Amino acid sequence: MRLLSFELKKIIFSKKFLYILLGIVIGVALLMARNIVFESSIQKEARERIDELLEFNFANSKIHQAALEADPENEEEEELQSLNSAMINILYEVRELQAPNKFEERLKLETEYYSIAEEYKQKGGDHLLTYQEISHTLALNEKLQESSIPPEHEEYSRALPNFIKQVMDLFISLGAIIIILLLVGEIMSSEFENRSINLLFTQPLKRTHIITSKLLASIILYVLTTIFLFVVTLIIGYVFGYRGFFDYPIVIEVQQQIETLTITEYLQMSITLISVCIFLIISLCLLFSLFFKHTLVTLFSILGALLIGYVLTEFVSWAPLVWINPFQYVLPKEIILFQNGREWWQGIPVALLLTAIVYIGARQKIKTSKVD
Amino acid sequence: MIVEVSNLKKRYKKQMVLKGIDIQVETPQIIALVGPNGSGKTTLLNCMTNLLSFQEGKVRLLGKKHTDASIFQQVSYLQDNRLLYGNLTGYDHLEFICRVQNIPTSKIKEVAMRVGMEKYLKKRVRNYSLGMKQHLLLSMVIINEPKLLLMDEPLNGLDPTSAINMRKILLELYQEGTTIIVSSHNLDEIDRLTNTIYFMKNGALLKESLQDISSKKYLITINDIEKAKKVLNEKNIPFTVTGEYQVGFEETDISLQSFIDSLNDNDISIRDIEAQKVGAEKRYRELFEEELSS
Repeated sequence: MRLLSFELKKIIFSKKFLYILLGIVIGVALLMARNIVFESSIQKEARERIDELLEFNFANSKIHQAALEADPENEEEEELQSLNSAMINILYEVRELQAPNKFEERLKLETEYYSIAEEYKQKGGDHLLTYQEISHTLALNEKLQESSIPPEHEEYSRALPNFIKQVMDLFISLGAIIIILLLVGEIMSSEFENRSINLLFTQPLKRTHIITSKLLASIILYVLTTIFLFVVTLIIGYVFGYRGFFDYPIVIEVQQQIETLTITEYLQMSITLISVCIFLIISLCLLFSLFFKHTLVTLFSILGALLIGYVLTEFVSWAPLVWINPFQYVLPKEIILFQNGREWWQGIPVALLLTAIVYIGARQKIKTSKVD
Repeated sequence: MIVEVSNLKKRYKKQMVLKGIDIQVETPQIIALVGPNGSGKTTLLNCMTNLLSFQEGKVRLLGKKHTDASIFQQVSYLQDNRLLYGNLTGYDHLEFICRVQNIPTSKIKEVAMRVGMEKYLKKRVRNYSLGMKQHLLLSMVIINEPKLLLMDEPLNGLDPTSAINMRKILLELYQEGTTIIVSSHNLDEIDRLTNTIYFMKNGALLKESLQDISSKKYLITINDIEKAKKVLNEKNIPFTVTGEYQVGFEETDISLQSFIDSLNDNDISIRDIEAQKVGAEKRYRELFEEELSS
């Protein structure tokens, strides 16, 4: 404990920490600015999407018509033509319902359109929409209708909860790892590089306390930085966005079934998984620093380990791997969204176990560590 | 025993850096470690404080093994100023030492005043000059009133006033019972600080008390130099003429008393006898002649 405050002071009073906080503010502000700037083009894009679907449905209509002219008794073709016509009619109606207060009617029509599109595809019709898009949209719309929540654009929404989710998505997509490596990647190795470890080693301190203090300081700094990120996001989202709904649904796949999570649940899962990954990275930083005593080599070794873990997660489909791959939460978004053949939490025990083992290893290593 | 280093051997790859160093210090004293760059001074101090490993030998400081971190309650080691944290203040550094050593923080101001750094105590170390950093390092090693103080080049970057102040503080600490082992290139300062010098040459230690060497060499002022030369040559007593009325004599087989008697027996009167001081630089020149000429 005597060392902990000193360790915290060393980083909190550094320019690096200030720059990281500044970077977070600028990053979140830029994200909101992007959402504001692209708001009008998002609406335009939605209209263009309807036009694109209309155009596609019209093209299909001509194909069906030609087929029916060639074979007027073809019942299947007739049915497809009728479904296609229904879709065209719905799209015309949706085009007229762009006002925000008419979202419930629009959702109803969209749901109807996607249901018909699904049936149309099942009956052999060709459509731009994939089955995955159809099922995801249907599940989303159902939830939105149930709770009377207006739909939001996934990537450009200014609604506070959706904006927080966008920030969280960036945070868990390497953002947190980059921040933590910048913040504490050199917490131990720089002590060897600057010879400041000599000061710590010539104090009446157990060397293992140095490791514990650095681990705790790193975790505290990670928590503080994460809280700061959320506070900044809340302030910017509150000032430049609008209220929104924290129970806004996020569509996920669980054992090939479509389910939904609320944004609150999604944020909880994301922060849990990325934190588990960050704790592992911090302990690896400490251990590798004691071996290499050089910041760049330490960082590259950690990145190498993370890369191997990610490759294993993405490209090796051996079922037990979800229980034994501690590096699977490098990019946890996919793990939350697609829980097919696995549960989102299955890698947590092995990641925490490895964190503990690496921490114990670092405690042992520092006992015999020398400055040469 | 304050310091007990026995047969300390340190090898870097295949090169022997320390070749069986022995140091025993039983009573408080100031010892200077002198030698050219690469002679092993810092390596020796680092081995003694468990910063470096060594292949053979034994080190005990204040009766405890050098690997026991609790020795640093009473042993301080002043090192290179690179170990300071640029983004922290001098106060932060001293506060850290106080916390880990259970020293009341009220002592910080006292030590800062003693060293003369109270004006920039709250400044960030990155804005310190070389001399200011040396002041901070000195404050950090004396705040715990150590029984043993090891210092690696403490005079680097100090202006004459600061150097005089540091010497004063070291002599005060010595008088208070602290043993000081100091490595330095500043031979003039060493001369002012101590007569006990450990010269390091190629990883070996040559211990010398300049006091002992000095006490065997004398400058003797007499009234008749020609008569003295004749008498001393006749008696085969080695001497050197060092002035119009002065001869130099070194005690070897013939004692100073015999030398004086030889002169007195021949009616040569002695006006003054002065023990000749041998400076660290002079001794260094003798020992490291090869390095100096190359």
